[in-house]
Amino acid sequence: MTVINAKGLSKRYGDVLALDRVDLTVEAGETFGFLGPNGAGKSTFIDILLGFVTPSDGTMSVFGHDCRDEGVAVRERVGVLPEGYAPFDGLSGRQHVEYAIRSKDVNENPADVLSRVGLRDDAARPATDYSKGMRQRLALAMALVGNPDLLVLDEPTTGLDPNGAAEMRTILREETERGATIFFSSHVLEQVEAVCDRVGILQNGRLIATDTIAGLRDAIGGGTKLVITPDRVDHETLDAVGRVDGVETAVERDGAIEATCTNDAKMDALVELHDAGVEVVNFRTEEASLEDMFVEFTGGERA
Amino acid sequence: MTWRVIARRDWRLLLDARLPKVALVGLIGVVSMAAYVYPVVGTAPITTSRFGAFVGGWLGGVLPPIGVLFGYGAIAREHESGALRLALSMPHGRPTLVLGRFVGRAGALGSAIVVGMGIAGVLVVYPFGTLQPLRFLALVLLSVAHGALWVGIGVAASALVATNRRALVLGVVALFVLVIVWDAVTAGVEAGLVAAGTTDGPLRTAVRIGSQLDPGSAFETLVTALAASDRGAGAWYDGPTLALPVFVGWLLGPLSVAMLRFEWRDLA
Repeated sequence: MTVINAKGLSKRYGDVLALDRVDLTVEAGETFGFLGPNGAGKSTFIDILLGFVTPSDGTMSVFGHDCRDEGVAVRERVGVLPEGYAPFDGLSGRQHVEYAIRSKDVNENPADVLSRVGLRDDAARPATDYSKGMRQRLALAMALVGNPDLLVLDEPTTGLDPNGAAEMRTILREETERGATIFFSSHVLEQVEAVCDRVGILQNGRLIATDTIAGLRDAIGGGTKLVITPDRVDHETLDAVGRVDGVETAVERDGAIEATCTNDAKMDALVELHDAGVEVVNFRTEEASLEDMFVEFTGGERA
Repeated sequence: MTWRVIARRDWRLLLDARLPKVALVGLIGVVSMAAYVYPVVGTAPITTSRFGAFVGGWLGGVLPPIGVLFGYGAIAREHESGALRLALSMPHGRPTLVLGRFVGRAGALGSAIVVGMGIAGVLVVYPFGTLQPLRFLALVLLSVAHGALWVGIGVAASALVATNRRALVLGVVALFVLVIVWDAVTAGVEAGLVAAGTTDGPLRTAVRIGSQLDPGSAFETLVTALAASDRGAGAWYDGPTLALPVFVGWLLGPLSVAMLRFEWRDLA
């Protein structure tokens, strides 16, 4: 069953094309990671999904409901952690969750929901006094109310410490096991890699890749990363490695050359360096991380 | 009926804040004071209906600023802070959100009006006044509606712009134009016509009608009509025939326009 279905989705702000004919489907039960550099259009996509913004062209539906014309029907089944939100003035954490419970017309205990996100002891404090990480937990608590069929999380780990991020991942796994679909936008690639079944990479408003992480790895020729420690690294050394057939990228990091390449190209790269008069002190191979693949797909832009 | 959830939250927030509480207590004080003074300075017979005509001017001066004060932050404040994104992530439609905010705020103001008028009714009737229950009830409802009308204008200003400051400016401009400028301009034009010797005819009628089209004039005309024991022989546009639709139009019009505009606005 298709949960999110975007067809030819475009959004233009004046001269700026924030989204350019994006086609994307997310199936039920998936945990989908949405990646992209700053300004790629991730938030615009989510704003359209939540009905905050009207697309200039194309359509987006969630559970078969048009996001703009049937926004209430969409949000009845969706829990949202929006980016750039602020808590309500004058309400405590507990009152926020109570508001979500009444708004969704469900029967839940606010204390249980707050315990789940680690905010039970701070429930009585005004939410405007919360730290950034606590606000993220509170918004997650509100999103979890009513056991939504789809969780839309826009940069959910912003402001969370490592423990908080780990707790968030645990909650997301629990939600996936419950059967919820998760749409997860983040620029923290480790988070995405840890929880997502499939990812989409957005750049300059265009969806340039959509696949499983293994699929993306295959798409860049097996996705092996060769880390070479030579006696020196300069432009010529990098060029020598970059010229080898099967090498997609060659960058210098901490005195080593990191080359994303096919399995067959690894030995060729070492031979090329030797022929160029460079002594190889050490080398090892790694599986390409999501970050490596992201750099590969986006041509060097960082998430 | 999620507007009730929104209205209840807004009601509570409004009554927790100091300035609105002071405004509401002040409003009750003004209405009570008018009722205390009325039997002393008013002419016989002292009745709750005639009290309406007496207090109408007081309410016409007090309710517009309080209404705009209550309304202007309804949407724009949260739009500016980002809390609107949280509010709209719940399964509420945008018109429902505006309606809930309006009902919560107008309800708080209306409750204060009811309390003030209740105290006023006792002060007018005791010891020598007369209670005319149906007309007094109509006066109370009309006053509540007048308060709601100005809250609606404030909420409309709030839903039409993106920042709290702009909403305040828009609300104050609306207040200034409708309460001060409108009367001054129509009075000036009418005086000009008289000075030019135009004492009758369609132009003069148009100006007279124009002078009745602001919310304050409509309210005072309706309050006066409630107090009158017989219908005068004035022109149709000086009575409830014009004032009632004008009043209802101001009560529903700005809010409806703002709800429509807000529903289709990008909130990025």
